[in-house]
Amino acid sequence: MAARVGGLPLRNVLVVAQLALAMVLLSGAGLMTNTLLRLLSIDVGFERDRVLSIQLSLPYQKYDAARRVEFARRLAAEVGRMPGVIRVSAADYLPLQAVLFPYELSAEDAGEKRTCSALARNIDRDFLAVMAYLCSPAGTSSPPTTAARRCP
Amino acid sequence: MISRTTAAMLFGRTNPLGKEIMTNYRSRARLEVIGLVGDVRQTGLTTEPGCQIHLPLPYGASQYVVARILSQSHDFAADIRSTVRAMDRSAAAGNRDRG
Repeated sequence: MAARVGGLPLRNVLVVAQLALAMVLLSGAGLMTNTLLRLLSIDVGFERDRVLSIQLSLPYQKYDAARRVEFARRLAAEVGRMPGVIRVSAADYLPLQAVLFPYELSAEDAGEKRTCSALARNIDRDFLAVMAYLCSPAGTSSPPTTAARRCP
Repeated sequence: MISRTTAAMLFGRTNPLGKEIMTNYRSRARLEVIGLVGDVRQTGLTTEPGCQIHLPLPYGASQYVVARILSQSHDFAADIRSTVRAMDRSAAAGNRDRG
């Protein structure tokens, strides 16, 4: 005689439990896939493909800020000569990387003082083009949108 | 250069190009806006970009060299490390990320 649980054959109980577990796993997988797709579709503001970033580690005793800039520029020139490299630049921090020192900015607009707390990034020539930021056309003030061109 | 959000926060609908911004840094208390760039995610994928400004590199200590490459087929890491070593044996370079 087959084993029974609460009057039902054990086999039926196991099938129901397996189906319930499969539903839970399928729902979880679906939610995770949805989250992943949403993360991939987020516009980060620059083009992530084919960007190489090199983190420099220079001894502080030997390199002050000015010498670090000079070293980065010399390295950028060397990297720029490598086959397969389109454009090179340098910066203190990269996008998606927390910047530690906020700037408190203020400006006058129509007699009214406006303020905002901004993160500052120090960038060298061509950084915006290397990272393919969106730029307003030269000489215009229209805000860059997703339809705007990449910085030249 | 300032970001779209910074322009909106500080100047509303007024053209910000050529306008002056005051900062809390004594050594660069006044900055002139010379360009507008799009917002870039700064602290994470799920955090909306806030105000951002971009200053010339000599204001900070460069830590990164970035390059736009033709394809990902070539591994640049070894070439770059040997270039860095040739420039200064006490320096080091890490291939932080490649998109």
